[in-house]
Amino acid sequence: MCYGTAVAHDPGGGRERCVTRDVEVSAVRDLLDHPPRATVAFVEGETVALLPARARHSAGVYQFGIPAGRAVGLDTREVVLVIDDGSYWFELRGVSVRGVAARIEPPEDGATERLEWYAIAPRRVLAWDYAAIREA
Amino acid sequence: MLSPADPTVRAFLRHSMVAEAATLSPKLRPFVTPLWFVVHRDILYIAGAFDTWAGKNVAQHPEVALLFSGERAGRPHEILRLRGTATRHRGLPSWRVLLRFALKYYVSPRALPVELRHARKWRLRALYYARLKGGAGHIQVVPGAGELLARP
Repeated sequence: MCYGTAVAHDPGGGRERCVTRDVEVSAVRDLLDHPPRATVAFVEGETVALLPARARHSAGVYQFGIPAGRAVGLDTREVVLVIDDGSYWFELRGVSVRGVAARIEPPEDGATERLEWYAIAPRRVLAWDYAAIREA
Repeated sequence: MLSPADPTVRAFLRHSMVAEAATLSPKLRPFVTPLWFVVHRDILYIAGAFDTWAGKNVAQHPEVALLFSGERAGRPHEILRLRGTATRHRGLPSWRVLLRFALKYYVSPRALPVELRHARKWRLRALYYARLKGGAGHIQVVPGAGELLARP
């Protein structure tokens, strides 16, 4: 799963054809409104680390909260946030946001919980929906 | 820390459908993607194409980190984080491993209705896999220490 777009050259006409499950972010909007699973990956020392996260999205801004004290501060560091859902092939959907994290104040409804909150300045956003697989 | 043989770890692996798998790129950048997996003889198998990002990454940096939410275990407040050492392999895994994938993701009582609902798209899926770069491949992960994390 999650290999993006598969490309082949049509031997007849040389036209490049592909089969893709990539979609616009707007097509998985409900995932962003109610993130079922959220994970953030980052580099800690010389190894990769990841934590379960609570994700929020509003007006194009991606935010995530991680348990306080579970990671060296992520401020100004590169992170990848994945929000996804589904178990079986045609159910798999998700969004991946790569960018630089910036520490923010907790949102009002999350202030009582012991989470550190960050916003991502996105460098790349990808979305997928396997049920939307098609030739393009 | 939990050993890979700990019953809690085994239960999470048995009851998780998707592993969030984090790898490190050759340029030391983080990468994470949700992946299907099965366990066979204490090894985690991740099947797909040879030249996936995850595959390329583990070829350079074998250490991986994985999250399992144990969604079928009824433990909604905990998540298992597992460290592991991964290797990339060309070709499909053994038929025993493929059978585990089929039983878990394609013909289980929960999977089959999903498959049948999308029968018109099977041809596209076959094309999709046939055209992936590098041909078939899989990743094997030897699990290391595990840790239970609170779900935020």
